[in-house]
Amino acid sequence: MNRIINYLVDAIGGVLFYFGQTKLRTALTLMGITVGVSSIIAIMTVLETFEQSTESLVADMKTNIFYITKDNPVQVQFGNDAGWGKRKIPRITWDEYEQLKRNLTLVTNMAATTTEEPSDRTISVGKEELKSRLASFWGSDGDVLSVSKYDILDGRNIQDVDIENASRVAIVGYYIKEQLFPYSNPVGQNIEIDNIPFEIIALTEPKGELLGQNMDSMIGIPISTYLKYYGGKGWRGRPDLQLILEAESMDTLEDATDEAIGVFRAIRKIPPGEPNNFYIATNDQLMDTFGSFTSSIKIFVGLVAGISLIVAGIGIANIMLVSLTERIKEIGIRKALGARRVDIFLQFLIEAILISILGGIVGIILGLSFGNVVATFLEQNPVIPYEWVFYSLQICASMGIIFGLYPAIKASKLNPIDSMRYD
Amino acid sequence: MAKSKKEIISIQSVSKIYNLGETVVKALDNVSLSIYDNDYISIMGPSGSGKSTLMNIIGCLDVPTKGKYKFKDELISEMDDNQLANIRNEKIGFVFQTFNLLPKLNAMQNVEVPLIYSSLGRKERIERAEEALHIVGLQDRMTHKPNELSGGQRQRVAIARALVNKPSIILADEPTGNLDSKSGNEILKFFAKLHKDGNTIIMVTHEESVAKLSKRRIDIFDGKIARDE
Repeated sequence: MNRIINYLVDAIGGVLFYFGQTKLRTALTLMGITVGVSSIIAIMTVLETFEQSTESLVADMKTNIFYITKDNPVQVQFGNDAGWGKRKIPRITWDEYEQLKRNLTLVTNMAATTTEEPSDRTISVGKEELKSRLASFWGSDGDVLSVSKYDILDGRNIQDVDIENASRVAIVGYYIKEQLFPYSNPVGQNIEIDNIPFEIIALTEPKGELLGQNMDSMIGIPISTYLKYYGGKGWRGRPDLQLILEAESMDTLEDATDEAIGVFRAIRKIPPGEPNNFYIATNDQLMDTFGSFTSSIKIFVGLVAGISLIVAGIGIANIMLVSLTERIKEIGIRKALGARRVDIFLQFLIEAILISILGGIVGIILGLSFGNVVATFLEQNPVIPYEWVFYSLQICASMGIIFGLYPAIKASKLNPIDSMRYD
Repeated sequence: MAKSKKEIISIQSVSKIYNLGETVVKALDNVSLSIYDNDYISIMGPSGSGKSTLMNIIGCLDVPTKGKYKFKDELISEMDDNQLANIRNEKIGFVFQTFNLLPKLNAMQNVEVPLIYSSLGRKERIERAEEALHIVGLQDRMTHKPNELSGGQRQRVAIARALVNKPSIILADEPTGNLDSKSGNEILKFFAKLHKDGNTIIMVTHEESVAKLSKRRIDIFDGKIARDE
């Protein structure tokens, strides 16, 4: 036991001394490990912050809901999938929505939503204009507030009669109140959206930010009103709708999606064998897509880091071999004074491990700082991916062992008489 | 010779043969030698005579090709690398011509090196290293690195390192070879004192004046002992 402690103390002293003697060389060697480890840690930190916030998002989502959309709701695949980019994908129209509504049997609830995120519309009250861009402007015939987990602070939700009459009523987020009605309750007052007056029927409770978006910079109106005033020419045709469908339960979700796909294909007259020209996604699938996105990033980063670490490892082997030739005399002296093969072997191996762990620690510190700076920038809570910190140290230690092995064996086999004469 | 003394080293018909491809070099040819407790021996001979080879064998840095080498009761000639390392560590104190201190360590740490390999704890190591540096009169230079010490001081650090494990023999290879005459004389006086204190000293030298100070002189020539008196 004493021997092991002696080695460690000796090796730490040796590494520090060596580091001091050959600052540039050692620093360059360490840099390889540092880059590898810090890229792993930085990306893992950022991904972890995202995973945390999406997990809290998922916890809020209903699992018996699915969507029909024009675009992939989570655009994250690398490259084109199945040549989608080349084909013209039709927007989902109001007619299609109504036909679908008539034909579906397994869906208990259905809503169409159109969303501008962000919206460039002018929001004003009298002469006062909203200075920043509106983060979200939506029209819907469904209960967007409950789906998106908004609570009404004051006022009432959009009702069927508003949708039937295409009433000019609006729900506003708390940020709109802060900016345009700082000293009064906006409910009952008027607001102009692109110079069209609306009556504010509800104010929602502050929600803060999610994934960098101000959730309170929001205005919602009935979809019929949206299509009437903002739908462009021929209001039944223009805008792109997202359809939210609700199956009775998780158990009927699969049947309900199958039915919806079949009916929607029939509406669009897609011949058998042709792929869908629309996306259908459940909340689970959205999460899976996000998951596969993060895991493909992880694989990519792993590869890059892996290559960087192999290069760094070769650097370590190289520096240990250089160190070995510079220290042949020292090895000879140590052997003459009673060092056995295993003593020299362990001395070199421990040095290699220490060098790589040192590089790893610097890398972890850099990676954590960088990752958390990015996370703060994206308005996420800072995290430490402990798992990956641990893995990184493990990887560094094994690299030290793997790449320090050959120099250590070589050192341990030196003959004391010849080594002592070496200059 | 004082044959009544206890025998420490017994070398019987030892040969060392180097096979250098075509040529075969007999560095030691059938040498027999006994070394006793509290001997003070100088080994002399021209270069290439085999004195370094003999020194290496006595110092357990090398094993003979033929013959028997017994150190006290242990048969060195049959030992493997690790056993030899242990013998060197415990039984032999080396003093080299070029001091062979480790440049990155200070005097104290240099003296501690042999103790590292005998598995002593830190506290005991420091105590013993301090004691050894005291003996050589360098108690004020313990934290100095070799490059901050004079040649004579460096050699005294090396002697302290040789003494620290309380060895059975001290093996000195041209210990004054790299020193000016004043420092050299100091070192030789110190060896005389160590001998007086009961240590066994074997010294390789090519200087007559140095050899005269020893109590027994062995001359090597062509791998054979030419004189032993």
